[in-house]
Amino acid sequence: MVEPAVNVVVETPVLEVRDLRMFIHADRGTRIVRAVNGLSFSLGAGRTMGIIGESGSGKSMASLSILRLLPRGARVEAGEVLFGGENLLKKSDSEMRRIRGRHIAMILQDPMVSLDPLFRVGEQVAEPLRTHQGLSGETLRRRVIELLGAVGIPAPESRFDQYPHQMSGGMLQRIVGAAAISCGPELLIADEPTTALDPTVQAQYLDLLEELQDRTGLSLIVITHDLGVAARLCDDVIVMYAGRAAERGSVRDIFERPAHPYTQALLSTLPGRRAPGEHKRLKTIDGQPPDLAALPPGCPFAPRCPRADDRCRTETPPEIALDPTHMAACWYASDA
Amino acid sequence: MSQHILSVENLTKHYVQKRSFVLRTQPGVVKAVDGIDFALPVGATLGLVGESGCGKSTTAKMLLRLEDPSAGKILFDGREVQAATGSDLRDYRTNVQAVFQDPYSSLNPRMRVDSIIAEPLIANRQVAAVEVRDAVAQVMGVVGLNPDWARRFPHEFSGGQRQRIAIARALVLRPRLMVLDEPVSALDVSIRAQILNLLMDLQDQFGLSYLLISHDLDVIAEMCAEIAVMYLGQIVEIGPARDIVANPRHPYTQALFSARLPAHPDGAANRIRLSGEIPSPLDPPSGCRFRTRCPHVMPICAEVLPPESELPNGQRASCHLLSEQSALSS
Repeated sequence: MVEPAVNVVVETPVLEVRDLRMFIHADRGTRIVRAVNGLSFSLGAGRTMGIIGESGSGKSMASLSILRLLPRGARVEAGEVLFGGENLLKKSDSEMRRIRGRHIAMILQDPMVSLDPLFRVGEQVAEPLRTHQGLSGETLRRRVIELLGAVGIPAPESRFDQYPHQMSGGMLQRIVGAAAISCGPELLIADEPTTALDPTVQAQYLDLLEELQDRTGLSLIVITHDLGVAARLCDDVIVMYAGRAAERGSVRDIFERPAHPYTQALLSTLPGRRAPGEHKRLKTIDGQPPDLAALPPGCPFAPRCPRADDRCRTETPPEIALDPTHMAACWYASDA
Repeated sequence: MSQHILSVENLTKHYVQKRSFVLRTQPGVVKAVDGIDFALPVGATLGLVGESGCGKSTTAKMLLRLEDPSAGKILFDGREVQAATGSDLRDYRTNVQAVFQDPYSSLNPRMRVDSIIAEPLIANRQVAAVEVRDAVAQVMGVVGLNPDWARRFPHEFSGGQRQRIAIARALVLRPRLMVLDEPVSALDVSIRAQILNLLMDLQDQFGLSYLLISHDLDVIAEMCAEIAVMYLGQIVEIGPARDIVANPRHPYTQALFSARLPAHPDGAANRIRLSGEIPSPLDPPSGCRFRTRCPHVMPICAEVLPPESELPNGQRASCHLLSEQSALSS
């Protein structure tokens, strides 16, 4: 019995994405890369959603579509992005500029991508406050110093006039965090916040995201390839594969009752979870993710899936609801 | 023949920093690596862990002879590496190969795969063209690459395949020791396991010894028989991986492993939060270098560099807490 997935959210969601589809014209328009192929989810106030996927799963393109910051040649084809009930895909560029930074903020994985090495860090935290709230002069400076203190930077007065190169990586993360929450956004999107960070710096950064959320009550979307980040931080998880949600559910659903073979495989490939030095082979997922410009018919995971049959290779599985908050896009989801 | 393929004694690298008005630096000595000792048994994997700036990559550079040590010794097969010249040095460079993190920047985009893999072979030995071709085809098969792809360019390969190319290039000289510097950090989760499996298979097949440098504690726990934990240029704890992962004794190791991401939503408890940042290696703290961030700091820590205490299982940690305990028990 196949039922459509129902997403039960008790309160009004902060963000609701409905059947988002976007593509990118690549190689001078000769190839159409279908990066997001029907993504739906909703995010409640104060909750943390993890969007997990490997490179090319569409997780970053999904977040850039929400912010309307798509690269050239990329277009949203269909779907709705409802933020506070309004469809962001229908907003003009100037309306979007008033939303970005003020109501929806974004943190990128590497602080040096966000910070300009030639400007003092205080000025960079001040920029959104000047743009969106019209603060200036001593009021602005005081507000920035307050923010720097709030994100855990010791002696914030002395840090205001420093340049990024004078600060450590962990400190720069906090600077970017301060800029992100400066205007009190309702939604914060953290894109791959943890790649290639040291474990204690990474843990500090995840703490920071949690602190920002506790302090402001914002909703958080964490885009990551790391299931451990989801286990550590998220209430809800979407596992993306080839531009679709392979599985979506509470963090417990995903870790304790994974229903999609891709999620199951991802969980079993994690290294370092057995007795050290056991020196046995890790489970792997054979093959490569599909070419998004030439998606196979049927389920995109079928070529790598151990249980794929003829139906999987011809018919795309719908989102099958396992319970009101848990769904998997697999013909065999309810057998698991 | 020594039972250790590699051992280092008091290995030290100090960089002299000059005063610069432009960069506003003061003269001083950066103690990047400050007197470390470890030994790597034949056919085993030793993991070197620590955070940025702890000296693990400088250690790798000295092992690869890309940097000269300021003091101390590197022994390969019981013979001192620094003294090696001529054919001895060439032997060493043949026996010790490296695989780096980023298979996008470590492969020359203008070279075809067969030339990339053959380059060390041609540079180190005089081999006939036909032998080179056979060696390349053979090593490509060993690392799981189709030898028919030999004439392709790196950009035609995925990240995991590129890392296989880098491993093939390291393997083509039939080395005995490989220095693996973050070998899977740039790879996707589903590809990571494939490459780790390949490295484990190659170790079994060729009896390779690995020095694995990583900040990824999961990879370290998976791969290593022994772990050395570095902090500010020194090894603070070293010993069997099983024991260090399950029961770290040095407060820094404890904090480091407690920062590991959980494998399950219930596993996130009890993280030890360190205060402050890693001090500058230009001016490391007196006594124990970890004392400025240690939750258990005592007065003695500022005065005396803690001696290394050894537990019965071979785990060794440099902390006054442990030397106190062993003094009490003896």
